[in-house]
Amino acid sequence: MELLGEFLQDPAYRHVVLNHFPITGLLVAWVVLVAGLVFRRRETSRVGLALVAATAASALFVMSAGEAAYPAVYDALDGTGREWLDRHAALAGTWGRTLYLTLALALGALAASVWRPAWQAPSSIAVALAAAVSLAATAAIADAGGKVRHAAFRSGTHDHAVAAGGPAALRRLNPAQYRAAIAAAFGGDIEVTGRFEPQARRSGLLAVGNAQVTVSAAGFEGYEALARNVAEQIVAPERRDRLVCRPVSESGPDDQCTEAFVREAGSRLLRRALEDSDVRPRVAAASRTAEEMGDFYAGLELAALSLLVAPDFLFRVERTEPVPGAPGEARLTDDTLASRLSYFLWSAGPDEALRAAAAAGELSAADTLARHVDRLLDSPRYETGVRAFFDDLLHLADVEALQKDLVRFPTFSQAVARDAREQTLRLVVEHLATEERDYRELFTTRRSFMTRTLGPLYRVPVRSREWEAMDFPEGHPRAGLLSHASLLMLHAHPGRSSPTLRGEFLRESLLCETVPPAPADVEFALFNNDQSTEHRTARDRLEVHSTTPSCRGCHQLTDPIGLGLEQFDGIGRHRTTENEAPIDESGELDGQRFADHVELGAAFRDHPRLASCLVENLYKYAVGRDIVESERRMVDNIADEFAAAGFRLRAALRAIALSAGFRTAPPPSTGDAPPAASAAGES
Amino acid sequence: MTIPINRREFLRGSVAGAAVTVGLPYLEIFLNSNGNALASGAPLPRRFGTWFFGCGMNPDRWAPVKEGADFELPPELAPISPVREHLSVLSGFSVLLAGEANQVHYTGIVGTLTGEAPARMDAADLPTFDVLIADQIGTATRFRSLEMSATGRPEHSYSRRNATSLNPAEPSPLALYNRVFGPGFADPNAAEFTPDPRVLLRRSALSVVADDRRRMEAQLGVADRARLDQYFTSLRQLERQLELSLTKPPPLEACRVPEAPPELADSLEVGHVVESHRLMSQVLAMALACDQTRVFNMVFSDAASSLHTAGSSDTHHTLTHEEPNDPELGYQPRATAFVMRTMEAWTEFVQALATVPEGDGTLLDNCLVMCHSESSDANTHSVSGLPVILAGRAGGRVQPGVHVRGVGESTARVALTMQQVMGLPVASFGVRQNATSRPVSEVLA
Repeated sequence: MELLGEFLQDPAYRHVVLNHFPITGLLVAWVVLVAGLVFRRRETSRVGLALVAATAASALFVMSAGEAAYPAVYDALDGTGREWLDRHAALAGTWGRTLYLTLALALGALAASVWRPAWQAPSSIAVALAAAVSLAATAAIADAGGKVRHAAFRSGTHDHAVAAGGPAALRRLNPAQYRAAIAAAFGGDIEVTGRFEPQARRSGLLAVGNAQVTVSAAGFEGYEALARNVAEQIVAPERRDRLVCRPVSESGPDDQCTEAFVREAGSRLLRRALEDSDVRPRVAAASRTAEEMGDFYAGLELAALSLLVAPDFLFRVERTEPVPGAPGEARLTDDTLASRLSYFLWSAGPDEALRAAAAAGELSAADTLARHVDRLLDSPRYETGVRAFFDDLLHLADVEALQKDLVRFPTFSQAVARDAREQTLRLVVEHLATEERDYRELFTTRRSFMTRTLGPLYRVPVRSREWEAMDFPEGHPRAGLLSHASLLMLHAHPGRSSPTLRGEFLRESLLCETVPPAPADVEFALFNNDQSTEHRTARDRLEVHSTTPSCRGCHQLTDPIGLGLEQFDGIGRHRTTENEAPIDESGELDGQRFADHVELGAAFRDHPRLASCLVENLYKYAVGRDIVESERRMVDNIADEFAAAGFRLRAALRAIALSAGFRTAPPPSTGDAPPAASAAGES
Repeated sequence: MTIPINRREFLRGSVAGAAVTVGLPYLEIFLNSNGNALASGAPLPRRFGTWFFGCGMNPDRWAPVKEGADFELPPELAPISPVREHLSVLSGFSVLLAGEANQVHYTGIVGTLTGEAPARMDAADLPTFDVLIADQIGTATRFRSLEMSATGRPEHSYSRRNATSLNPAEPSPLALYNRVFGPGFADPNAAEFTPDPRVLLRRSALSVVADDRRRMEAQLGVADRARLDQYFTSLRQLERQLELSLTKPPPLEACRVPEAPPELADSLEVGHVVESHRLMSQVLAMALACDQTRVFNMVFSDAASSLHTAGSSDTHHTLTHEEPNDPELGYQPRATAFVMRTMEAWTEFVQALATVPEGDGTLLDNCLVMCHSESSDANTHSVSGLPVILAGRAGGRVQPGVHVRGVGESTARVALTMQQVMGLPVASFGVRQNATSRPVSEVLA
């Protein structure tokens, strides 16, 4: 009883307990009233009128409890739930008034039955009509309310089931994925040489951009040239033993052998079981060509080429299907889910076992899905997946395309840039995948990897010719990811550092904040160049940003943390002075003060957005688009799980792979929403 | 530099070519696709191109004062003096913002090329007008259009069908050369013509994929279907290219297969970029003379120019913002030096086209090239009074040699003029405030 009392203190609970009266109660009352009228029983009618009055009155309590419960319930809901709640409240506000009318009429009719018996019948008919309208109104209100109900009263935060995934996508393979697909289908010795269409970064990730781009005419020429080159190698005489079969004769068609080849290579390249419509036209065209050219392998080459230039090879086509037993809901097909999983965790297509699991329908079942996710996470290929994600998130592919002024930076070379990228990736893989450490400690770790090429830039001796693991001693200026040459040289100008570019990158990529682009009409005459005698350090030069109101808004986001890395020059060499003036790195990151870049790294480690931002980026990377409203709460919950698991990357990846948003999609009719574009930063 | 070729040789080439191709299957469908227009005395092809440079100029030192013919060249136009007879200067034309924010180093270029001031970065979904021109005049050549960037970056290209379908640039003279004159190129003036039998194999492979289009589309939503459409458009372009390579190209008097250019180091140092641009211009001139394409887009420097001089910590872009105005001179001397280098490079480009004889005149006479930038005064990111220079006569449709001032007028008028000159049946261009139906008639012949 005590428990019930406690529950009734809660307006939401009161609302739910009482809300049956205005609906089922009113229905019973109406039936009694109408029966009384039909069978001309005055007493029955009177009971009916009293019941109508009582149930209509109960609605007043229900509505007031509902109003009181609104704020708390609203907060507890996800986006879709909120929409239904607002609709429920709006309906109650408008149509709930009919209950007042019904109540007033019923009381009047009751009074009439006592004092003016002649009026009882007509007034009762009026009440019956009003009650019918009220019934329809309460039914509509309750319907909307019922759709709110699911998520509102659940305790605990691990509520993935409420989320519905955003739209599935058409996702172009990136160059590394293309190479991996060729190697998986035909062997690692096939050379893939040629040009790929440039990628586009959207919402901070190439993975999102790849779900928005297409293929230009020049790009297609490039893909076809790549494909021709691969196809020629596949059927080259020295490799023919490795093909799935040998033809009856090399000088003419052999449709059976061609079909075997198309089925085998095709299911790997297209990442799904082939249909007859995939196979037949290819076998037929190969047959014609083999006939005309008198060469079986020319036909086979054609078949291979036609697979390699197929849009469903170059693009991952994500397909959806209705969820059995849940009308209006959609989920990814097993084939699509297999691809999404393996590209997410391995940055490569599904292997034989995963394709078999998809074919057996094991991925759309939650219990068996977990088993497969764990297998992928336990595989050595998991490291490749971790590498690929951070390569994308940290823009590391751009490092190798960097150009620096060689007069100012004679130690810079493409080899330095290449090793700088690899250095960062090695640390990330060891820290997060191999040793499964706390993600946040990536920003303070003294661990590093070095080569002879990088040694001079870092001013450390390197003995071996191979990569060497090492630990910087306490007190050394290098600590954590922020002191990596790769990131420092990337977010800089060709001839010098850029606190603004560095700050912008850290805010946007690591803390998921948006730095607005510069206003167009800036008074730039206030700036001076870096040879100026009065403004010797970047801090002096950027002073203008913090004293000019139109600049300050955005630059206070970027400059203070960028200036915290100023002891690293445009290629990431350590320095303590600029133009002979000492460099002061001190500043503040969202309330946490730091004296230098080492402390800045610690401030990043402790930043409340650091880990949740990583989860958001992982999720966007996994699904190839921005997070949609119906997934927001789910992603927040995954971030909580990540924290609870000690910020081990694996926990976040596992939670994402098993989440409802990752596996589901909107029903086809609403799946066409264009992807949200994001503002690209400008320097 | 005229090449002595008599008419009989022309005919022999054609006949020999036909004799070779008759033996091949599938030929019927190509016969009507490319007649011997030139050998039969049809007019020379008309070409269109854009030439882009980043970070604008100093309007006071760049825009001529006098309108019409015989205008004097202000200091920043002095470099174009050797080729001024081929040029018209358009000053004062602007991208009208129509209430949108000026997306710095972006609105100016997208606005000029699409006729719409974009609401935000990556938001413009309209095609750039060079693509519209290529759809009209670029379908008979191997390449619908060629894009190139002297900066060495494929992504430094502003030609696109929409925000997600960029036409990437050839990043080096050698890459451009290999694309045009590498495998797949047939010398129109060669006596022998042997089509590559593998072309048939490639065509069959493409047609298997093309036939699958309907099934693919059925699986996709509206936005993705549009992306797939572009994929198949690109595929058809390659099919077209393969078709063309099966027939002997008609001889072209102006065509001379150039030597392969040297491989250049990848650098944004301005001297490097100038050299890369010079070599690219020469390859492009021959690509046009050999009728491999009729539309091109050359990027000399990117929007928010990343060019720099050796040993300097500043780029052209950072200088425009951070270099103080010289009190004596009244402008930024180091930033302005890049403007001068740019105008010199543009002059070299015009010369590269003007020195190739074609018909009774030069290649340039059969071209129309629009030189433009995303800013006027880059210091303030101004998109008012953008620099525009037109070169060539477009086969006699354009009369160069004038200065037109269009203060307060939209650059969409220039874009409309280009399209009409190239024979597009369009009466208007541009969106909202930039919408116009008035071409710049002063430049027309």
